[in-house]
Amino acid sequence: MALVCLSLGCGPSTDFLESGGSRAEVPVPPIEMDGVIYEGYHGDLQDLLVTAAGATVDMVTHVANLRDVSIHFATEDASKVEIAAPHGQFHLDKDDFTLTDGVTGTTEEGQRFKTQAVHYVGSRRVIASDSPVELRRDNLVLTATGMELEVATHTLHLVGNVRARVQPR
Amino acid sequence: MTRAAALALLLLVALAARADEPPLPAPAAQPTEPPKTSSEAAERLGLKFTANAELLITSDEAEGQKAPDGRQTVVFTKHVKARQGDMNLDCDWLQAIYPPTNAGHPEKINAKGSVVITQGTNKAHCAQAQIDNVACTAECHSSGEQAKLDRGTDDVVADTIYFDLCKGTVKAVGNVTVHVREKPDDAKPAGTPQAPAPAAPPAKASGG
Repeated sequence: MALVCLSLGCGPSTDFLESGGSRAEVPVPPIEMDGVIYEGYHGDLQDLLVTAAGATVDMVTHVANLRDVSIHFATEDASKVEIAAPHGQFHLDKDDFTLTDGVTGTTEEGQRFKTQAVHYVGSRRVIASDSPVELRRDNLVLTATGMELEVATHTLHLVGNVRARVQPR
Repeated sequence: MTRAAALALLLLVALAARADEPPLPAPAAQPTEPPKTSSEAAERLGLKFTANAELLITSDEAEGQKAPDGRQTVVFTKHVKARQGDMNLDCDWLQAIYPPTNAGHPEKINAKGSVVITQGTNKAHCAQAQIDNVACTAECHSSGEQAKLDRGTDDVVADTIYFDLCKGTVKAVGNVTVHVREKPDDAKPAGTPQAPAPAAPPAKASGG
């Protein structure tokens, strides 16, 4: 997956995505960024859009710590999944994210979910949570102790103490 | 078999012969033909929805998917239990099918694997069950062993048992057998003082 940084107000350098071997020996201070936008591509399809109010990029670990982050996932059938959280970590070498401190999400079908933290595994295009999760759609409330959402197919796996509660209208 | 049990069995047989006709409020208690063993149907009290009650489904795992026609399905697996009002369903696998819009309440539920539906003293056992919330019906059938409906005083065994969940009626079709149990009073040893047995109440074709 190609990744493009369109950061507004980037620090002195935006070439941190290139993991130059010779530079690894030179300590590089973290880079502070404001108004961050990342675009991810899968072939010609832009399937990932990450926005954040700000980021601190650790050039040693190649991890970007994001603030007020929002991630939009697009699929080939043009449906969308969006998740947001106060904090996130973007592993630049793997295209993997971790969102923490209260994650909310929506799907195009109108499902909303919330959980404490999620991981996005770029290689599998899966959003996973090991924390208790609650999903709502209309008068249906689903809860479980963990979940996995396949972004491409919108297939949702719930594990552990699954409860589906349908309130009467 | 006691006189009351024999009378109840005769009533059921009479109802079985009328299974394809609209239910009658209180059929006359008249003996008719002897029991048949195939393509029989019996119609009596069964299961009934509590329409305005919350539906709760619990399980160890679940998977939600969107079908090409826009319908959402959720498949619950491992220790599945569903409850609505005083009706309970236990099974190994349950699929809830939601309409494309207005998706809160499943329009259909398919259950497989040791399906047991319980309401009061009525308990239906089968391998597979389909519940249609739109048509307000349920169908309980088994491959190999027959579907079975245990009630307080009798058991109905058949290839397929149909329930009208709004009317509370039941219809058993295919190799129907009705077992009438003796009441505890009937099993008392001879010589035990007891009051005269009351007349058997008229059987109902529908109710709930």
